[in-house]
Amino acid sequence: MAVSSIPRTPVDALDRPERHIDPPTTLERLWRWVRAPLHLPDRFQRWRLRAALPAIHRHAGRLAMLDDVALNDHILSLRRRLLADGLTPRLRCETFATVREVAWRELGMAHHDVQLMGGLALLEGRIAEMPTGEGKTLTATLPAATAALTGVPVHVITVNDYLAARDAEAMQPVYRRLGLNVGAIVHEMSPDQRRTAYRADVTYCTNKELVFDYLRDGRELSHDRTPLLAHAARLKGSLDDRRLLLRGLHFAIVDEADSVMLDEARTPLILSGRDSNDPVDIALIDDVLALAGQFREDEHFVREKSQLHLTEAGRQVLAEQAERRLEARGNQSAWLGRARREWLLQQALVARHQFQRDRHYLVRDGQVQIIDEHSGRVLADRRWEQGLQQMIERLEGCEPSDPNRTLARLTYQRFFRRYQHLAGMTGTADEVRHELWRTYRLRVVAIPPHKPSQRRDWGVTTFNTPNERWDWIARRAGELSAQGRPVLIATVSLADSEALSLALGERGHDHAVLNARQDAEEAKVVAAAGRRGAITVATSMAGRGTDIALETAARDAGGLHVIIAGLHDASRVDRQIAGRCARQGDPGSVEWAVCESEPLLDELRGWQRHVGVLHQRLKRAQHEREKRHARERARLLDADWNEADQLGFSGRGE
Amino acid sequence: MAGALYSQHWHRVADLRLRLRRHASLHRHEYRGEPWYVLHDTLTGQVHRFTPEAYQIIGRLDGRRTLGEIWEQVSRTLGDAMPTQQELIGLVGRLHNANVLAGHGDIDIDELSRRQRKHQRGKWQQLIRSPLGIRIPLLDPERFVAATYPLVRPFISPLGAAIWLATVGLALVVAGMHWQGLTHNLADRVLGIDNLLLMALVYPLIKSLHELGHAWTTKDAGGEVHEIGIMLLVFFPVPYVDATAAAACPDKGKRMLVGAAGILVELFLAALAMLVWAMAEPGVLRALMFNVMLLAGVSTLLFNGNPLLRFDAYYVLADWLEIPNLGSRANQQLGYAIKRYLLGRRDVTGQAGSNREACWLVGYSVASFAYRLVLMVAIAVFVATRYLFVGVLLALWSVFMTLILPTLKLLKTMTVESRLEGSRHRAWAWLLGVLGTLGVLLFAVPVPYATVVQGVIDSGEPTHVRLGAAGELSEILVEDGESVSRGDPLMRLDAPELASEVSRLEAHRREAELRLQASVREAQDIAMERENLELVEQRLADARLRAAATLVTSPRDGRVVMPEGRPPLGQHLQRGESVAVVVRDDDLRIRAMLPAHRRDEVSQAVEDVSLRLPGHDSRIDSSVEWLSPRATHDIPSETLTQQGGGDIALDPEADEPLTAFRRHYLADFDARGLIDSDLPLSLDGRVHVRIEHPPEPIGYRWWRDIRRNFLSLFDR
Repeated sequence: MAVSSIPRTPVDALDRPERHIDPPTTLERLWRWVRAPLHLPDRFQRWRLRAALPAIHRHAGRLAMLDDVALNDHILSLRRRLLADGLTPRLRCETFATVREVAWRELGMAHHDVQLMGGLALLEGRIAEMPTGEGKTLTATLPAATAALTGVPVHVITVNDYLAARDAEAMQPVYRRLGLNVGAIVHEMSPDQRRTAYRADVTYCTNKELVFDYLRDGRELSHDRTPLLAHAARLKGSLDDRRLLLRGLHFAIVDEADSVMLDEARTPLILSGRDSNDPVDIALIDDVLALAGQFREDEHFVREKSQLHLTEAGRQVLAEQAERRLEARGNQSAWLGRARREWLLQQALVARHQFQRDRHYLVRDGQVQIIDEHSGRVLADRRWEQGLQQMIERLEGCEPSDPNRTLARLTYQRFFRRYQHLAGMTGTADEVRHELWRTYRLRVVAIPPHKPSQRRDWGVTTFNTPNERWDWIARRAGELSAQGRPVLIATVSLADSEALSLALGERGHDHAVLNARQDAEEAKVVAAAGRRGAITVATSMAGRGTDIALETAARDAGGLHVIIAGLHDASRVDRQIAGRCARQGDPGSVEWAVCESEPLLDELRGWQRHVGVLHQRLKRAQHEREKRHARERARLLDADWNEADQLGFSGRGE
Repeated sequence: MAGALYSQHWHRVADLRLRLRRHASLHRHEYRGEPWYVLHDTLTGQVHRFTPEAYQIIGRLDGRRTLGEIWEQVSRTLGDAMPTQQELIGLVGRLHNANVLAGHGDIDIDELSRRQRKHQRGKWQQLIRSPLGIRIPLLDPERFVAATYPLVRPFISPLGAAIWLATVGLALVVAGMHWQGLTHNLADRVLGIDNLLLMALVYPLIKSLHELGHAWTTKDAGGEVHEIGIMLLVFFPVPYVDATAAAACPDKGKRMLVGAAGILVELFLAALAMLVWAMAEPGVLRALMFNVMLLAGVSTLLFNGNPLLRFDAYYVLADWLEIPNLGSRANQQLGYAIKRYLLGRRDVTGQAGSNREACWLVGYSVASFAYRLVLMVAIAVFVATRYLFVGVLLALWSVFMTLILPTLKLLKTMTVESRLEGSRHRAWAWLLGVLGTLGVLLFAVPVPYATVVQGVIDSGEPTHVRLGAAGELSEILVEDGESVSRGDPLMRLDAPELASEVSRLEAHRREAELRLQASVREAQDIAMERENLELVEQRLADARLRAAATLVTSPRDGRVVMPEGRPPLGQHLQRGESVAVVVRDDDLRIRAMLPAHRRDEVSQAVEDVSLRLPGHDSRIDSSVEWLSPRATHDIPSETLTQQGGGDIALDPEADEPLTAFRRHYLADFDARGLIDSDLPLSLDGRVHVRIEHPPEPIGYRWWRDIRRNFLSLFDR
């Protein structure tokens, strides 16, 4: 892809340029599948990127001579030339050099060569795989500022509000000096604030906020999807363009691309509203839950690959019970219809057996809140659908909330493909490079680290019971902390982190906890985690984007030590957590503590579950789960395309 | 199926208020005792079939109720049979694709144009997919059919049926009477040049009547025919009509009649032609009638009468079974059976309403696939041999479409598609298992392998017993097959004139001796008389020899064999005639003709050779003695030819009498074992020779055979 391929289209809330994608034909699909493993080796890509570096350094040398006023003049002239000519390869090098110089003067940080290479890869619309701690935030300023100077609005997308706000704040001086304004979207913002933020040249936001805002715009526009219709509607007065938020999908740089584009893409985003017309039938829910309580595993229902199925015996019991209830209450109840009552019961069984408190959800202030299995964070606005939420609330003794009504629904796979130009960066993309290509047409380029990593791997320790493990970890953390090294312990679930916290407390070790329940102090906990002798217990929340800065004393003592207590759903998450230590040439070490009772092992069936070294088995289970999740994503994508065919009569897409 | 009760996309459709367009009408039909509702689009003539449950929904599409309300109502009335939201969306999607829905306020223009493009692309794809079956629509015959229908109308009745039955029955009887004349030398007559011309003249007429038969009966069933055209089937123009409108007719009998009309018309024509043919004098008329009979009778029954192809009989069968859309539903049912029973999936639903229907569907699917495969190979070979270059390309293409593309599709399903998720391992296990078993059976399990040919008993250097004198056979002293020593008497001839000749010549000799004695003085006379005596003595010796030869003796040790059988006593035999052969056992051999392609195996890999006489069970061991170095067309004995009861075809165009059509190698086998047995042998007698090769997997053999046949096909 040539550099000039960033399309410069009208930037306007009514025109809303975005790419239109037709469902792939069979041949296309096959071709993409065949082509996925066929690409130039990374080495060639890196040579190509490296070839642009001398030109950038030449410009940089010239710019370093300029005083501040001359630099400002240069920036102005550069911007004029960019707007006039578009992005030519020569101007690209000059712009990169300028951004680098500005970053040096404003932040005291000049981009390294690897960051320049990463920036070039991003500008070309690729996924730059940069090792953790290489300064991806700073790297993103290069393509973002370049595109923004050319007149293309840029969305820099991260995984959480905290990172969006932090990055926007940290990089603002650079953009300001370049004459660009920056916006950041966080959850609490009002529509007006959002609109202002989206009007900025560079907008930092999270994927969820962005897609929700896009869906809200879609509802605002309702049927007037094309620019012509939208303009007509505005003239007619049926559309208020001042209520629209986005100005089209131009260029997105996705930070933590694998997490945003794959892990979170397993479930579509659903914009829902409270449905007060259809109140929940609490009596029915209680009735179904009570009946589900009588059903026994393997007799009335079976678990297969983390799904519940009713057996014939279960169906029969259900039919009898339903008959009795129908006789008692007449034919208008929800027990009528086999499909409906089986579905209801299945929901109840799922609520009873499938979801565990403090692993899948937590109860806070009398409300059931869902925990995201990848980031370990609370999904504040997410709620289970179709009565499941109410059932779990009922089981937890909370007040059942109003049911939700789906207003709009969109998959990430679809949304990101609509960007006219898309790029991503992450620390862990190698495992999923084929999927990224198949789904988003994005190629991965691995960028080498700036300094060689000093991370040491202390290996795996296995335990039979969780308690042994927590004891051992507490002892280990105490020893290391006594040496002055900060220790970060990553657990799989919230419940684990609390069990460990208890074990640490019993031994009298001072420690901080970072999990979905204690997410308010996230910034404070992270800031303190690099202090000398600090012990921090965290879920996968401490994974992506968490920059633990080391005190000098801590660095001298041997740097951060990470203990990973149990493998996560994807090896990428483990790698991300391990990447918290030994950043940017610091010393550091990582070790694993795994236990025979990991829930991940459920992924394996029969003899596989029991035979072999525990660590190997866990790896295999993890691999199985990754494959299963990839399948779910593929199915979602397929369903997405089929939907277009099937729902043609509904007259509008999302 | 509980999971899919609610659809993720419900929010997009729940508030739509849809109604059926005015040109769509609903009819109630009965199929296999179940009520069904058929939606007939009078504008396009398309017909769609729905279940009563679906009718509950379609009937409520009145433009006032939203889909959400309809679903609630239907759920309440149908109880256990309530549709899931996904099913309802699927149903409405089907209606939308059939263009019978109205009332959705805004139209997705992109979707409309995409659908249009897809439709057009579909037509092209159809063309590319089957270049051997291109449809060219020509005209709309509706007005003609409507105008002529009143004329035909009286015949679509029991009266018509009676006339038809009577004519066809009579024709069958007549055909039985003239069977010899009909079938004699058929190939010559059919493929003669002047005959082809006649056929070309008669053919369009017959086929047009055939198609009009469909059109009239469609009219009778209440439908209209709007498309008539020509289909290029393997480059051969075949007319077709679009009679889909007939499917809206609720009467199963009438629908079947529409399907069968073409065949009925043609058979009627053939019957008429038969009757005329039987009465006409040989000439143009008779030839013409013969062609009509051939085209309208035989070709129709072969092509249109076969329900395994998508021609007339298929539709008749589908209507008779009351399984509309038989072909595609059969394939779906097969797919379902595989998924449900081989892959053990529970989330699939079948097409069949009953076990009987399921059997019909699966059976039909398998049978029609096998038949299509055979037909495809036949057509591909035919086209490839006729139109060499283009033909080979087209044949390859059709093989690709029927065999390789489905295989690729299967592979695609196995690898990339998410439909198979969860049972992919099982699917691969089955596929590899079946292929592996086939592979092992074909290429790893050795199967006994033998070449079986017919041979004759043949003597290498036979010594004939020839008569030294002419005479009547008076006595045979030996049995056929008896062993004799040199000089043993074999037969006795009765030749009284020889004895008298001897005595006459003896008298002559005496006379000559006396004359010699009398002429002592005359030196000149002595010389003359001496010469005379010598002559007479010579003639006497000769006569004595011949007289002695009336006792026929064996010329050497061996076995007396009379190939022509025992000559009858009293028969007059000429001198020099051969009456028997004296053979030695080591002269005898079995001579056979090997097909050219078996020579290598017989010369290189022989485990065992056994001989068997026709009519006897015992097998006798033998061995290969000699193989001719080059192939020949000459046949050693008439016993081996097809005329003689053997299996070697004669070349009808050859000048020499015993010339084989194909090349063969000669092979000799050891006959000693056969001679030592007590079996009755005769020279030139038939012997079955079985040459056992080392056991070999059957796949290699098939491969060689296919390769050889394929090469010989193009080796003209």
